[in-house]
Amino acid sequence: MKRIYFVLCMLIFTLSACEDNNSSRPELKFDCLYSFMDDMQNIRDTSTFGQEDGTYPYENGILLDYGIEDIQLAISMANADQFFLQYEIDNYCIESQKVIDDFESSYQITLEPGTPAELKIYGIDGKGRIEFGSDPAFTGSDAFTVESWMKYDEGFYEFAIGDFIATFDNFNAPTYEGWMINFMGDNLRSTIGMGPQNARVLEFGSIYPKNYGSWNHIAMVYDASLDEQQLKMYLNGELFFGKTNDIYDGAGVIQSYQPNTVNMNMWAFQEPTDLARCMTGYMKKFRMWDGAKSMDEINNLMNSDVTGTESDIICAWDFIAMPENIEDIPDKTGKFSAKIVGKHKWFPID
Amino acid sequence: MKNYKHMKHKIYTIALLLFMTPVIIFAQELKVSGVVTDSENIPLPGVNVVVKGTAIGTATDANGTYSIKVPAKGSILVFSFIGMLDEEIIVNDELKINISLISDILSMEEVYVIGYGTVKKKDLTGSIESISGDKLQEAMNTNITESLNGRVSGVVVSKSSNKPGASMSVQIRGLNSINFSNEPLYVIDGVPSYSGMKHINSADIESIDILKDASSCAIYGSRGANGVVIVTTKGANNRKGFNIEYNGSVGIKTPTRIPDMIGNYGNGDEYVDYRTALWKKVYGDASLSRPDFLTPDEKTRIKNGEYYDWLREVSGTAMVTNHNINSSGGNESTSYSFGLGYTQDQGVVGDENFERVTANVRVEHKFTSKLKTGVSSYISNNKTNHGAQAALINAYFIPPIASPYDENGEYTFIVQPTSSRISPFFQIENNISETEAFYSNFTGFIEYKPLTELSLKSQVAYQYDNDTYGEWIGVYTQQKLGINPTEAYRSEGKNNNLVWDNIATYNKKFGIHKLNAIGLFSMQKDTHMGSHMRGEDLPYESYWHAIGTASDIRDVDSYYWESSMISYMLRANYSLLDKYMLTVTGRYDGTSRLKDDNQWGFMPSVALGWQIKNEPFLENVDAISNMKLRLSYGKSGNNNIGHDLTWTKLVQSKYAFGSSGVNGFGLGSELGNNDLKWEMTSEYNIGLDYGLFDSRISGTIDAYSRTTEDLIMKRSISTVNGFNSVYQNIGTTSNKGIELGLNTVNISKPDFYWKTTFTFSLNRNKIVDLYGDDTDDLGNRWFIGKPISVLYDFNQLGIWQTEEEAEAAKYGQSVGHIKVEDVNGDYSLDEKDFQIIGAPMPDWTAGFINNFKYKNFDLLIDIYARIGGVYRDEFSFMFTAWDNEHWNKLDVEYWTPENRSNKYQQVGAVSYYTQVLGQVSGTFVKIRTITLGYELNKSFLQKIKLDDVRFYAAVQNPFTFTNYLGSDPEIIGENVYSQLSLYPMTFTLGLKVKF
Repeated sequence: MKRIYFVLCMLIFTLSACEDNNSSRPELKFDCLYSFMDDMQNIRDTSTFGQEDGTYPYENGILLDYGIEDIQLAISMANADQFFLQYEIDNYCIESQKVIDDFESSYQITLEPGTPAELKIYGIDGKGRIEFGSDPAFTGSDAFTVESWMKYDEGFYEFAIGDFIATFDNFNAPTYEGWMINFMGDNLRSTIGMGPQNARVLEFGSIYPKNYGSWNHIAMVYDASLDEQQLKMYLNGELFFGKTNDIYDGAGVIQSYQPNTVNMNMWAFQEPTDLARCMTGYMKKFRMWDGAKSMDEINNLMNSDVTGTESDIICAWDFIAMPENIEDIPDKTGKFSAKIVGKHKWFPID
Repeated sequence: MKNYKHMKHKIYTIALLLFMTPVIIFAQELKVSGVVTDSENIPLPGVNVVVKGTAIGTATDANGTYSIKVPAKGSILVFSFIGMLDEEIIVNDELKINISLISDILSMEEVYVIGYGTVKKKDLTGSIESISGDKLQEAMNTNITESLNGRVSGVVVSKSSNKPGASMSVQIRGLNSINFSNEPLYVIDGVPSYSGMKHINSADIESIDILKDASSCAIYGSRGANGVVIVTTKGANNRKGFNIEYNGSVGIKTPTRIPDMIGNYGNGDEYVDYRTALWKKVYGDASLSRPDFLTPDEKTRIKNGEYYDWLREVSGTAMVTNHNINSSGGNESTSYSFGLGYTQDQGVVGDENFERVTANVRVEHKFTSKLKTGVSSYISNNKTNHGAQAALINAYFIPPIASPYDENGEYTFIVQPTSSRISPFFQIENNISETEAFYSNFTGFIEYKPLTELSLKSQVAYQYDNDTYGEWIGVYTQQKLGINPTEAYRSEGKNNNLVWDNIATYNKKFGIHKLNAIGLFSMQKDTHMGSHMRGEDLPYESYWHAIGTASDIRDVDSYYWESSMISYMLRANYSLLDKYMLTVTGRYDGTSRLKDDNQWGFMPSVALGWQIKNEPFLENVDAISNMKLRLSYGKSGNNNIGHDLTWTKLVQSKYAFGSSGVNGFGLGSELGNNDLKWEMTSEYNIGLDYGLFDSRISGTIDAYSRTTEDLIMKRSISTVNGFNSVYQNIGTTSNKGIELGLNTVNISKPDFYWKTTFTFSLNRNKIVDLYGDDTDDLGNRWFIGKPISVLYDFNQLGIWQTEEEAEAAKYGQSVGHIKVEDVNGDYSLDEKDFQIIGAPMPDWTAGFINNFKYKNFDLLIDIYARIGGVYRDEFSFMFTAWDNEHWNKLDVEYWTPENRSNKYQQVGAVSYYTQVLGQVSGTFVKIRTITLGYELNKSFLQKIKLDDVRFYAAVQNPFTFTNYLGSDPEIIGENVYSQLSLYPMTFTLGLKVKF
């Protein structure tokens, strides 16, 4: 009897609980270590170092040497069987690519103020940003529009969220306040803080354009008076997405946009209160409007300049030429001043 | 042997003294003989014939004859045989006793409890099903409510969780009410209430009778709309002598179907690959160099292959223990029964536990042949440890590369420095929530029979129950994160329910006419009170017992409310020629919950029965042993609504004044409505009871159409008068369905017997009307013509595949993202593209129970199927849609360019519309129980002076067939934060002994 029961139990247990637990780890690949070591050594051997235009600074040459030492160390570790996960090897290779990019971006060119140029901000790792100042007008209202031209290369952001322009604040107040145009995953998104319930956002996105190295015009429009699609985004004059406010609190009360009340900074390429949300890219023209622009208006703006005297303009900057002073770049309305902080580069337009 | 006899004698003596019913027999031995046959007069060899309560016994020979010596007149002969109902015959002057045994399938003599009386199955006109205590014990569920699934057609029991002591809800023939309870009325030993059956031990139950159609439920008038469950506990049975029955079991529970998380079973490399893919996709390749990608400790563990299967770490085996003793006995004038039960059902996670002690006593005494009285009581005390909130969900979240131990091998609170999820072991230790509940039921009656055919009975019943809930949240918990102060919460509630029933029963046969009439006058009053409080920052670990020591005491509140009802009821069952039956019922209820003219309501019903088998044209058709047609119509109400719905209430508010403000009162936002009426259900039922081939095949078929009108709905009104809503009777719902019951005796041989019981239920529920204007209520997701509860959402078409990249881009989507249907084709996915995906209710359910007997062995295989229905399941959504950089998720086929899954998005894709992953099919088939039993030979039992001994071994939940990713498809949609549980498989060894 016991045997029958035992056999029955074991049979049932085995049949109902058997699982596959096989596991195997793929072989590690070290090719990129050798490849990057060769590349960096080659760059160092063929580059000219100096203080004048057309050369690379000596200090950047030293940084390149450090990079070469790091990759040599990685090769030694590989030979000593110190790696057990592929990503550890890949990390060395990614760092090597960064060293190369940094070195190449240090190529010295001096531009006279007013020289037509493109501005690149190296925002990754929080190395650079544009600060537009602090003003209640930047935080938006029940209807506002933010539009800009932007450009980026592959690998333009590394953290969970890469901010292009933002006033967003999720640190200083119980409710999330302000707005941001940002990237996450495959998406280019618009995010605005909602309340009065704490920690709510109205947010939507759509797959970002992969035309790396080309300019795109983007516009974020918020209009609380609409019945639907209060938050819209336009890409190159076309509707990118529209999102209806579906943010309700636990009692079923619809939430509304929360402009900034504590921190009213507006930055580009880095979020004012969450410095880890950053990206690297180019900005050409940036404008903010008091009111919701229609698609037609956005198409017009995309192909025209502004004077700064428009009745509904809040601020406007054109980053299309080398400024007199990168720490005091006046906007077209004459009310505000922007400054470029950290690593950036002006590339002359041929 | 001598010692044994001495012991046995002692036991009997003590027992007899205890119950003060000595039975002394002085008589002369008699020789009884006869033939035992089946219903077709075929002699049955091997039938056990024993003198009840003695070791005297014999068996029939090849010709079915027997001969036995009995001690005296009045002795009881028990005839038992595989596949046949036991038969007991009292020996009087007739010493030649021939007997025909009836097949162990539903007998027409079976008695159903129909409320304030009983009726034989052959006279039944309504749709009623009965389940015996034996069948409930066979199911081996701690909460007997669960045992109704698959055993009673038309009933769906929903479990909230697999934690021990978890609550359950019951629906009979679908949902009627949109805003109020759909729970049936429970009548436990005569006391109507809504307290459920969790308190009751299956070993104490004589039978549960489920009244399903409105004509049957009309007897409970304004409380019968959702069906009625009548529970009758074991009572005095007027049998002479004394017997004891012990039924006990011990089981071991182990979690089964543990959801397949990435990297479980020590296969942590799989999780590392997942995390790498996730970070690369979401944050880019460079993100892997961030220090929080993998901590140094995690890297070391990966290198050493030190992985933890968190679900299996926090779960383990647990015990289920049951001990029940029941005794009964009596003499000519007094009979009694007594039962004691103990149940402990441990959970497989942490300290989850349910412990219940029950006691019941029932005594009846006949003063004269005309006057009888009796008392009964049922007491149940149970304690539920609900386990720690968030312990199990943390075990799901925490990946295999995190260790529960610190460098000293001790449990550590923070197991992942990069995550907010704390150790479930600390959570189990420091977050305790328990309920202690007491339930009691006392009844007393006196019955006078001035005439043989007339009885007058007055019964007072009192039910009292209370529960105390306490929760302790220590510092080292998920809620307090090791830094915030402790918190304690305590609440308690008490319910009193007093019922006085006065029943007059007239039972008379006039030649070819038979009449059974019952009149009732009943009064009931129930009171409810309770309180709660919360304290924060308690100075020491007093749990919830010293909230007064807390620095901050808040949420202090209490309540009291009462309601009452007066009822008049008349029911008449008339039968002509045992062929034509008529049942007429009318109940007139008055309730305190409504006002003015609406306080009183009349609920009538009528039912017809036609015993076709007794008609001349079928009488001689041997193949048909029973054929009865039933037709009924009735109305019943739903009184399980708020006691204060008609009131315009003052609500408390705080005015700013001084440091703490002052209390004030103002009119609430809801306008009271004196015109509110009961939600009223009317129902037509047509049924057929059939039996074929001498009832080798038998069963019932029922079809019903039920309409519930005057639904109480909250309606928005203009705020001009300061109110913004009012309750009104404005909606209508309907339920239509078919129920089948089929019992077959597939094989009936002297040594082998196989019986099958099959039940099938199908119900279609819909909203007929909402606000009288034929419009849907989109906000509440109520749609006319659709079920009360629906999933209104995007419809997933699949996953955007590589070749669809251009089309996906039009929706702002990428390859590997979730693809949903663009219903209006405007290339914008929003609420306009929502559609009704399904309803969280099964298309049909079925139970399939097989009983086998081979010699002394018996085998039970119990299968239950629930087919169809779409449910919203937070578990499936959370653990397939979420891509948290530090947490784990379910191991399913996520889309990759190589593995083109069409269900689950690419890891790290940050896809929208992931809520569709929470749309889960409710289909499953379970083999719920397999029980193998062995009954000792009667001849051996006679030697050791026992009536019956049966050993059994059982396994519960051995096989489940489903596509559900969670553990148990029967609890799809459980609250992941407070009710998440694992699915137990239980191996049980049991013993049943009758003295």
